[in-house]
Amino acid sequence: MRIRSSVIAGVGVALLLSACGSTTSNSSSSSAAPESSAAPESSAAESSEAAMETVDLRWRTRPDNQAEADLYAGISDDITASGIGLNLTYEPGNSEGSPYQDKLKTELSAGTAPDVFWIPGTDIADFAKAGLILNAAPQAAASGFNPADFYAGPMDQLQVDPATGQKADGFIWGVPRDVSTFALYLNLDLIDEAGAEDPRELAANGEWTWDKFAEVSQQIADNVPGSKGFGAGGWWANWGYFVNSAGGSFYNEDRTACALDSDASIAGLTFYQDLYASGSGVPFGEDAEPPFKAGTLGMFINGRWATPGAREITSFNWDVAPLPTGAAPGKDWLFWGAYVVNANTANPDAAWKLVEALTSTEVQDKVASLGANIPSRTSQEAIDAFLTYTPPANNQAFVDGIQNDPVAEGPLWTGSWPAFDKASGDEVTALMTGKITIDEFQKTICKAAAVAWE
Amino acid sequence: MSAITADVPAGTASRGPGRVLQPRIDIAIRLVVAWHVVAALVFGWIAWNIFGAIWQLESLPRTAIGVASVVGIVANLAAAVLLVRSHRRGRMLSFTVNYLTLIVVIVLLFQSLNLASFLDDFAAAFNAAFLPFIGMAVAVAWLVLARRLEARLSDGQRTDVPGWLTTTVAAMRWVGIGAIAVFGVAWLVRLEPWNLASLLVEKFGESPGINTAYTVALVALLWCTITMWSQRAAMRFDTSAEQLESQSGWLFLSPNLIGFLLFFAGPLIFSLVISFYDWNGLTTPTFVGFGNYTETLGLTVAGTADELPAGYEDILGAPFGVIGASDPLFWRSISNILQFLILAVPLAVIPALVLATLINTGYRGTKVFRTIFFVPAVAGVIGVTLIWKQMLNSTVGFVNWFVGWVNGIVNAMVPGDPMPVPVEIGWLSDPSVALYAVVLVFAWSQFGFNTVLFTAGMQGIPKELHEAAMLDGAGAWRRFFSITLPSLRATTFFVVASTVILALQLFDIVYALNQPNPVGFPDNATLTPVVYLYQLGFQQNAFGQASAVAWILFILIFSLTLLQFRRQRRYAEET
Repeated sequence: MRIRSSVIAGVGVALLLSACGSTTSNSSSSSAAPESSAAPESSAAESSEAAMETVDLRWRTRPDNQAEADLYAGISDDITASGIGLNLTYEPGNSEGSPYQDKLKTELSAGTAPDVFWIPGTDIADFAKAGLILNAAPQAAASGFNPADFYAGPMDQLQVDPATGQKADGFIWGVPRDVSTFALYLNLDLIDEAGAEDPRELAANGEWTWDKFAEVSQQIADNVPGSKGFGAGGWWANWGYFVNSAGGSFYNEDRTACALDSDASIAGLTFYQDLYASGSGVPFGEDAEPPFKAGTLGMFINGRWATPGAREITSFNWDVAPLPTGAAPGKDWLFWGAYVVNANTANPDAAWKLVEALTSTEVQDKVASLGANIPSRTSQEAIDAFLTYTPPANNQAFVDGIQNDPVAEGPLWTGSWPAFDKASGDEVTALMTGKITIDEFQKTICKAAAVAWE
Repeated sequence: MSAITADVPAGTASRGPGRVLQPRIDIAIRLVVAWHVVAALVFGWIAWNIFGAIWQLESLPRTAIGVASVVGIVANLAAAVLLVRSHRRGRMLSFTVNYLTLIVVIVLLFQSLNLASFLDDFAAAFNAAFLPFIGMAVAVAWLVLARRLEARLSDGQRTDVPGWLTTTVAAMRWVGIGAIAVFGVAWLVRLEPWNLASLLVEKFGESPGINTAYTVALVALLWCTITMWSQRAAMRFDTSAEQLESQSGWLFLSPNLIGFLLFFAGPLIFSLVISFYDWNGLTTPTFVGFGNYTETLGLTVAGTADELPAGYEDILGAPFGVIGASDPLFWRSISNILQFLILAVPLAVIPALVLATLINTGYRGTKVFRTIFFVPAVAGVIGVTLIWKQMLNSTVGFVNWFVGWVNGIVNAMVPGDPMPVPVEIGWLSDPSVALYAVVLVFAWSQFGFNTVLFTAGMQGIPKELHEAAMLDGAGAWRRFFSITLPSLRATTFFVVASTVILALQLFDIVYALNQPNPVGFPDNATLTPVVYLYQLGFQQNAFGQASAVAWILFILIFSLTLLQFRRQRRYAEET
């Protein structure tokens, strides 16, 4: 009898341990609670009442590296300790083989996602349309949130009415965590060795054009054996910059159809194709970061997020310059992502308070000091602080990118961004790898991309 | 209820202690019957709320909970009836129902008390008290040693034990006991179990009603489970020794079996169900029947590409016109994976066979080489692939440097048009060679494991066969083709079958090689069925169609493996 009881107890413990191993930690505050989903209508009075008590919240953002993960954990502890009534649990959202969005979507589907989480700007519309994130307009109004404190590009996209796809009052889907733009990372030693003009000086003189860019690239490739003039990634923003800079666009004005077949868009892609055809660059789609770090690449298009990696370089002098100007001045990308509130959070008011705390000047300053991010607040104070975070010495190139008529990377409120990304990416790759001509591309691209609006 | 005692099989109660305990077990069984009735009522209440739409749930959880509650009602009532009739199966059914319900209640209580977070707190406290714990563990080991020494010294046959040794060992024992006490107290002080207990009480108090209900159910289920498993119950229901042994086996198997059903078979069936739905993974699914399958597999034939019906794209030119597909990317992925199979499987198998043969020759250092060859099998795929990604970089990668170096040597030795130096093969960016890069990394990662399998297979071949062949004058090649290779038939079958299955499931290498570009890059040249279903599910949010692709792939893998099995069996029968 005793042996049998022990058997049962042992099996029970084994099952319990199995359950422990596979059960995701879930704060009581974040589980799907139907009765609490009506909470967005809670009043400001309730907000201040909630502030009196301590509320447990889980939150998540995608760090770019371990230093950022540690910093976010510290920020989380600081907010908890600040006595604003939040007891926070920070969950770094990235792990090998488990990309951030995949894990988040799985948790949203299972109802175990955190109360507050970060998502890329391109995902905002899909999440909002699926009812996964909270329209925090009541909370924002109660707390006196001012959208004008943040860059207009992202903030406009965060105030869209999903029914019309247009900006409207009464909608706040989140607050931008940070922003970034593209810049050209320069190997100054290689440019000097090639006898080419310094892109920073050309930019300062207003002479940093597409033609000059191609010329400098060719000089580096021709004059320094084993070197390449430029490199870029194969994903949408890289070729997309040349579309925008030529005066073209991904979409028509109200974002209800594809515009990649416009003459301006085609002009941008033609230049991009010719640039690669010249042979002066790292082949299309090849990762340009290894040759840049190896010192064999002169100019490398990348965002602010590449700065921590570049800071590890000790074998040559490097800096950044703005992207070359095309027919339409400016038009650098304004990359962004936002903190949003889980639609199923049991504590929407406290969650909004957390969003505001995470996007405060102080927190953005701490994050920007690590080098990978640019504050999403427009204040001069934030910009002045950012400029001090060197290297690179020429941080102004990023600020210029933000301030000179940038194109905010955009969610597709009237269609599906993932579908557009896939269709346009396949067509551009076919163009760049010589499978189709530019004329064929112009004929087929918008037919292929129409799937995004179906 | 009186039937319980009336229907006792003759002679059962007279066996051993069961006779004395008979009245007590009858009362216990009556209580278990009463519990089954209560449980059936609870399940009935759940079913009422589900089917009466009082609880508003999505269709899938609603169906799952609804079915589970109906099963709960039927199973509990059946168990109650069989117990009342003293049917032999009543004991096992009652035990099974209570055992499974107990597991569900444990999981519910675990979730309700947020015990995952409590375990974090416990782990933190345990870490804080780790040193005293280690001290206690060492003290326990010390005490065990002292007790053993003491036992050995007090052996009656030993008369030559000096008194000081006995005293020392006794002192060792007391030192051990003292150390356990000191470290134990220190451990408890550092662990602060009272804090953990109050934390548990606090968590319990967050939802006292539901937690009390779960706890009561847990205690009742635990008691019922133990009662029905007891020897008294077994005797009461005339359970034979063979049946008891079999039931014990199932009980020991149950943790793994339940885990398998919940975390493997469950998701598998779930994916089959959602393959018949249009579902983005986030909102309410819509039933589409075989729509996802027809959308994925749809093919048609037309004279020219322009004559294809709307929604179809031409994927293949044929003498009679063109073949169009409703999902060209799926067919592209199938085409890619078939090309991949043809290239990767021989590359992962044939070099492995050659290496295994060399290892099996028994030259000095073969053990070292065997270990080295096995390294890819134990190395993390993502990490290894990222290293390959650097090596395959077109401008600064080692592979192109090596090809250029070889070209340089060839240019120096062979007159004529020089070969390019340096070379810039776009292993990861040129659609015409990108699949070869994946083949290279896959073959490299697989051949080590295959080598070890072949080596094990070769070591099972009787040496006498080789010796007899040598006496007959057979050379090394002849022995390899006439003895080694035929003897390795079973091993070769296993190696080829497992490599084919792994190849058809290719995902991680493509995923890591493609970063930061989209998966399948360039121009879908590396798009495999698993990569495609990942793309559909997690990037396009088309989980229904992704599941359909997964099941089509399953049928493909199953068919190929079945074909291999049949060929293997036929070959074995013929020889």
